[in-house]
Amino acid sequence: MNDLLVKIEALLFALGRPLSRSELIKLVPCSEAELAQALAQAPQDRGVILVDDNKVVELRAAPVAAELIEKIRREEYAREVGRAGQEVLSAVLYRGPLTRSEIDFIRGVNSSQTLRTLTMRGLVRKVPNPKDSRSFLYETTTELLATLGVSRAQDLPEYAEVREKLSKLEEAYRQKEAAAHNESI
Amino acid sequence: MVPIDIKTPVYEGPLEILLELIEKRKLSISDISLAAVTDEYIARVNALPQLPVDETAEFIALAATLLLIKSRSLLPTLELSDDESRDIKELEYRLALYQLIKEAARGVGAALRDPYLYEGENPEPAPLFIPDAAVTLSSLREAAEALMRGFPQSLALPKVEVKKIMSLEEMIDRMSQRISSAFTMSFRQFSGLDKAQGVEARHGVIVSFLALLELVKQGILRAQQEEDFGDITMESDRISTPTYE
Repeated sequence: MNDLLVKIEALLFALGRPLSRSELIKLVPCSEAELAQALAQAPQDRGVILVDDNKVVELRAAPVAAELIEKIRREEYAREVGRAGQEVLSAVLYRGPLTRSEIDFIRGVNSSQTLRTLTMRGLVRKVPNPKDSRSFLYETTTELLATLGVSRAQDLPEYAEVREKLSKLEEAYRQKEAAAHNESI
Repeated sequence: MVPIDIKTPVYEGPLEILLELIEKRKLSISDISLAAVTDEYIARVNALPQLPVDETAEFIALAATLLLIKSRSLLPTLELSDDESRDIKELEYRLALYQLIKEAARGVGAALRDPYLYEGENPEPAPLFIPDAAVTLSSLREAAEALMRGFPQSLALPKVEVKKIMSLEEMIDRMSQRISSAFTMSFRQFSGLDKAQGVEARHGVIVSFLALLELVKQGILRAQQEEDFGDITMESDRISTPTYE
């Protein structure tokens, strides 16, 4: 393997994200022609392969392992979502989209591991929070709603009622906290 | 603040000295080479500055084994006990091991200067859709119910007013009057434990007991309890209530 290709692979691995051709030319650094020549030499018969769509270059697992990887991932996440999973899903469905800390608050326990599992299973997804660019919101995926047989969250059983009750509970909590805070001053 | 300057002297360990002596003579580790360096080792140990006791013990134990080896080489008829033979074998083994590690350490030191092998950053894998048959509309509705039931309550603590039952001073007064008129009396009777029951009685007992302790402390009362949790007999030496400022 030529030196340039070795460097490109190492960068893709260590940075852990796809790099565009123009980024690579700047980072390595090398000329466009050198880059093209190096990429053309990338071997395709190893466990990790270079995927190159002429714009972005990325490291991926070799296709021969695809079936194996899918089987292992499915096994890893095929367990029941459990009570914690049901509660998080229900919070996101009835009161969502919510940030991780809002979900933690409603449940009274840390839910990050549960959220991770639900995300990996494609039941919820992370979307940027328009109010705060540092945090994310969790919302349910279209696939989950489709599996539940509803076309939108509003069609969940007693959606409006549950949503209102949850927001009232939250409001009552905040008021009590504020009152206690004022009293202690 | 003046920085505290701590210097720890670097001592050579006993094995280190021994190995150095053997290597200096280009000998391999054997009872012959060990016998040959015995005198020099002992001279080196004698020349060492004051060492902590446990380290000194290490140096001396090794010297003893060396002397044993040397004696045997001079007196081939010397019979060694099992312990002694084991000590000698152990020393040879430890020394050989130390030599090996010392050698390997040089390679480790050199390897530390080699370029770092960076770990890979893991991109988050794309989710696979893996639903759970147990997640249904009704199970989610139930979960929502559980969320509402267990909704966090405000941490504001409820306020309880402590009611005044009887002041300690009142109780002390009452007690010293009663005692001086009766000479001896039972705590059970005085605190009302023989009549009242429940919370009221408990509060009465607590205040009475505090009063009792106070009066004993002031030397007005003497208290006696025959058995654990038994009744307390209180008596007074003086008939009248003492006056004190």
